[in-house]
Amino acid sequence: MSAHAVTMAGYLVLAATGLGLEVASRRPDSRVPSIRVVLGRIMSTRAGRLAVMAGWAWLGLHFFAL
Amino acid sequence: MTTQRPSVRGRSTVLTCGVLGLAGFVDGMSDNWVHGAVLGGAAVAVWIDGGRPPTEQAGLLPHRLRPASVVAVIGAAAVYVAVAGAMPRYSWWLTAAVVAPGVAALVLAWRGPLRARPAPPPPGRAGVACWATLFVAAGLWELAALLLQPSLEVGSYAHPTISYLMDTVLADWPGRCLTLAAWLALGWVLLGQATSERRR
Repeated sequence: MSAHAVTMAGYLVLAATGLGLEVASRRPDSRVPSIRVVLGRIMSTRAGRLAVMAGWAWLGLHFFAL
Repeated sequence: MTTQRPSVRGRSTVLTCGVLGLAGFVDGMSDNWVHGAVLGGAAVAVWIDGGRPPTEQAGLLPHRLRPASVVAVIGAAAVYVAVAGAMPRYSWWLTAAVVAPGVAALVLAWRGPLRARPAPPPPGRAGVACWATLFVAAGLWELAALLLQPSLEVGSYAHPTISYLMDTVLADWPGRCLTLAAWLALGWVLLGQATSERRR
């Protein structure tokens, strides 16, 4: 298995794990919170909102800006 | 027995400010001073906010937008995506086009949640640990791919970073438009997750 395939497999596993956690959070008795709940808690303070949106802004800058 | 006077700025504020400030410093030192300025500005805003008393904040938007407003916002976003997507990557024009919504989102984040909704009850530690582990693992995987490149500035097919994979997508106008649209949509969704409860 090539290094490229291993790296790509890692990304796929991470994405699948995230999807799995989100699906698991939908069960009625789940102990796993949904990403919406996690973000809702983080973004209940101004510092949390600024941090999350700064991360989002950075993403756009990283891909497109000088 | 002595009691310590509580710090004016909470640990979460100091931690958030430190992470944003460090990220901005490293990005700025890497000659990405626009990125550094945005992250540094967010760090300063967090620091300033940390010294203020907590306040309850109402939502910025009504619970339901009028259909005409929704159409106007979607139309403006479509025009933005089509125009900005036509600009070459890493140009001053596209930098300005990306900085504008980025700064606008930070201003909205400062002012309050888009809609008044109570914060959800705190999730259990185990559940939070699951998500935290996933994000840390993703960061480490990306970092490993970055460090396995021939150099930090030269991408590697064998160890592709997300940025390297995106280069192909962002080479053409449709790919840039789709990515810009996804980025804008993600920003709107993230802004919508903010909740009203104010605590530090």
